[in-house]
Amino acid sequence: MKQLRIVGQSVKRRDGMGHVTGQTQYVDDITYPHMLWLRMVRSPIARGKVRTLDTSCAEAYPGVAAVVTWRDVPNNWYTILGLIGVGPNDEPVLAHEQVMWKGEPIAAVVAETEEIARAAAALVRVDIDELPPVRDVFEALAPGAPIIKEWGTNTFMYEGMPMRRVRFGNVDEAFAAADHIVEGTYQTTPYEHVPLETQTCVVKPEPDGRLTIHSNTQALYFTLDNTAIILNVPSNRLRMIGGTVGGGFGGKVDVVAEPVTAIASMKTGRPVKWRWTRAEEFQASSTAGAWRMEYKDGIKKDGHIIARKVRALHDAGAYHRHSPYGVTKHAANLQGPYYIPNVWVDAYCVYTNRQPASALRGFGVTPASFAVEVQMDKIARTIGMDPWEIRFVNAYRNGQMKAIQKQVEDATLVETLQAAAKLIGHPLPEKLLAMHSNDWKGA
Amino acid sequence: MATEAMFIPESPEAALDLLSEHGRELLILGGGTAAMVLINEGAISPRLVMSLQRAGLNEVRAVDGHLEIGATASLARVAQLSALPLLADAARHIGGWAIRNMATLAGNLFVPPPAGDAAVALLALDAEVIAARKSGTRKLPLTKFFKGRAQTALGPDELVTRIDVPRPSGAAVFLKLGRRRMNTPAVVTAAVRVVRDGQGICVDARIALGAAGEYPLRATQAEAVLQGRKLDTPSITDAAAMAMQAAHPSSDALASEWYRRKMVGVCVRRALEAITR
Amino acid sequence: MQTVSFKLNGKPVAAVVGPVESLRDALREKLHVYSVKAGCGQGGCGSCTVLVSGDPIVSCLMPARVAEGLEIITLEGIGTPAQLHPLQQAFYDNFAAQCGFCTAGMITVAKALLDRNAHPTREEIVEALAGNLCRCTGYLPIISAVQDAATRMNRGG
Repeated sequence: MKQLRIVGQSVKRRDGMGHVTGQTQYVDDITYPHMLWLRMVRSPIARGKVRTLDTSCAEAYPGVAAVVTWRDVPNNWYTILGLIGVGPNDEPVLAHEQVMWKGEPIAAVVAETEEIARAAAALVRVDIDELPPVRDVFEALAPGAPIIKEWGTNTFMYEGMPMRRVRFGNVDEAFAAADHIVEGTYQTTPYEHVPLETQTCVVKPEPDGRLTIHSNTQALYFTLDNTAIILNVPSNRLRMIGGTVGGGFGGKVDVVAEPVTAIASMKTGRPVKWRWTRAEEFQASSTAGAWRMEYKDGIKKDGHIIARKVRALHDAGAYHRHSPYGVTKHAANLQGPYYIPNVWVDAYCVYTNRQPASALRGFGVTPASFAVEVQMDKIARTIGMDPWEIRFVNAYRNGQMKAIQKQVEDATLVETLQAAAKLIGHPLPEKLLAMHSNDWKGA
Repeated sequence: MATEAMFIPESPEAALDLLSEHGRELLILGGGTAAMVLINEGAISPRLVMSLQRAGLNEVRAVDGHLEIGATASLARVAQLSALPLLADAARHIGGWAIRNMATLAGNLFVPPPAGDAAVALLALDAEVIAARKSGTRKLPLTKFFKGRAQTALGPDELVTRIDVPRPSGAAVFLKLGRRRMNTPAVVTAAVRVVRDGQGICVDARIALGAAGEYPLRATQAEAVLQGRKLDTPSITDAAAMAMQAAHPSSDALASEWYRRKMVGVCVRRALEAITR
Repeated sequence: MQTVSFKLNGKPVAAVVGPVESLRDALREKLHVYSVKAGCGQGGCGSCTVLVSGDPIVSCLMPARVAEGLEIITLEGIGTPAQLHPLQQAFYDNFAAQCGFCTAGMITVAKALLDRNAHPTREEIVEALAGNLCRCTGYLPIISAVQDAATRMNRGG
């Protein structure tokens, strides 16, 4: 076998030395002469119609260079999923006629110091006619609920339907044939990434008309594409410098800092820094959304799960961000790594007047895994089977068909369970040790 | 309104002069661990600020068996006071090492619940507050110090300069329930001290609670329930139940009112059980 | 605005600061010491930790004016690329930094610990670092790094 230089070796991090000597440069460490600081004015209420927006007092405050509002945004849409054809655009970069969540960005004050920007931000006057907010997925789906989305429902529409569907086999027949029915309801709460480094962006205008944009985004190309569209400039006018992210975890994939900072820089002709506060990270940056998952499984007495019906509700908050995609991923993973020949999933991406949800560590799939595995233990207890055995019995085998119409290849759950049991010194009965991923005899 | 000046007086007299001149316009900083958070966020913008870090108020003296602790003695210092293990234990449970190096004992009297763990221990130890103004000083028991949420009995020209703690008698336990093992705000805090006679009968008791009301409080009826009784399951159960009744905690992001009330009962019971061991 | 003068990593420095400007902001914006991080402004994350007279303090909560005449140590004063402190080497070797944002604060506090206690138990390390948050590593490699550094230092390494 060829000698391997790197694989199998312990290789130190390329940025390790910079980290331990304090030399790694983060966006907040970048400073330019005559740099201005940006402070965002955010909606104080969850839902309403904006009547007036008066920035004159803030603009007149000593030390303020400019105030940026929706009028300054060439294309006032954040189009993250629009880039891959998922629409319609629903989130303005800066609020215009309505506010949809407490914390929604309305106006950006740009000033000589952070303190001045903050003081002047308090002088921006927004008059909002309050509307009753939709506070959770249940309120959103209740009959007679206020509809908060312009297409007429509080859910994302997947090919004309209000939910992402998975249909495989016939669950009703399978439930009738099952020996046991096991139901479970699982719920997760919104969760904030809390990166140690808050979202920060520095933009510097260049003499040739381009903008240099320092960003701690996890997704430099998303940021480049979205910012170019929002600014209505060709992407070669933007010079993106990224790289070091002080903690991302999915919390720095939405393009929520760069466009406004860039516009502020263009408007003032000066470098601008926007460093989110810790309070903004908690209350305004995207979070993992709440999930509510209702499971009904049909099980044979030999332990095989023959039917699964799931209704899943994801609280996307006020806008898409990445949620329609996350719900699709979720729906595709609701059977877990197990073979279930009859599956029915209705997964809803539900809009509420709350802080928008987005990606966080295994977006959409980790809540599903939580529900799937707790449900497996419940099944094991209900039918009186060992929790290891229930998983061996149902683990995918090569050649089986998944509910998403993809054939299983490279299955390894059986072998992984066997290795894990050995590692922790848990003795498995012979019949489980004899199993392997190629032992499925076919339909 | 931007802050105009930061005074750093170098003696208690200089501090009192400034306080007498400026009164309530002057924000007093101990270690800054409470006020600087609000200043950094723009939640408060005091016109004038006075740091007590150099005012010579951080001495600790043992006098005739009681301890005189300077107002600006750090919680790190207090955490080392072997003469007052209950107070030292409470101080150790506050924040992380850096916070304890900065935060002051007197400062802990002014932070609103759920903070104030050292104040809770001081209550159980019958501490007294020395409040000074330009014209003189007065002493008041800590039980008379708290008037409401973040409101005290101090006048606008008065400064806490010292906290006096008598030599403690009996056995005492400090318990803090938080969301993490260390560096956590309190769900509930309990500082319990019981004095028993040779037969194990309780002759005096202090049950002080934090995050159980608008300010650190003593559950005096729970204390009375222990008088004249041995510490056993019935008396402990009664005291815990009375303490739960006396509590009127608030709900916040950390814990709900009903959970805090339940945990008051649990913490008081556990503290009394620990004393019996 | 007033001038505050203090010793920074052994050298006298001065900065013009506002009345309640934090030591963190003075170090970063006026003195260009960037290892000190702006993580929260609330004293809760520890990424701004520096040593003042040898004691860890969270510089976001200390008014810069109060640093007058004191000795401040930051990560830059603990070790340099040319001469790493054993803690820096141990953090590097033990993969104790991922995004690196908490690292300066962690090493600074760990140094203060080892200055006082050359043989800390694991629990003592955990207690010393309880005021420093990390969102990436899960803390275990950080604890290992501090133990590793202590071992090396006790061996004379």
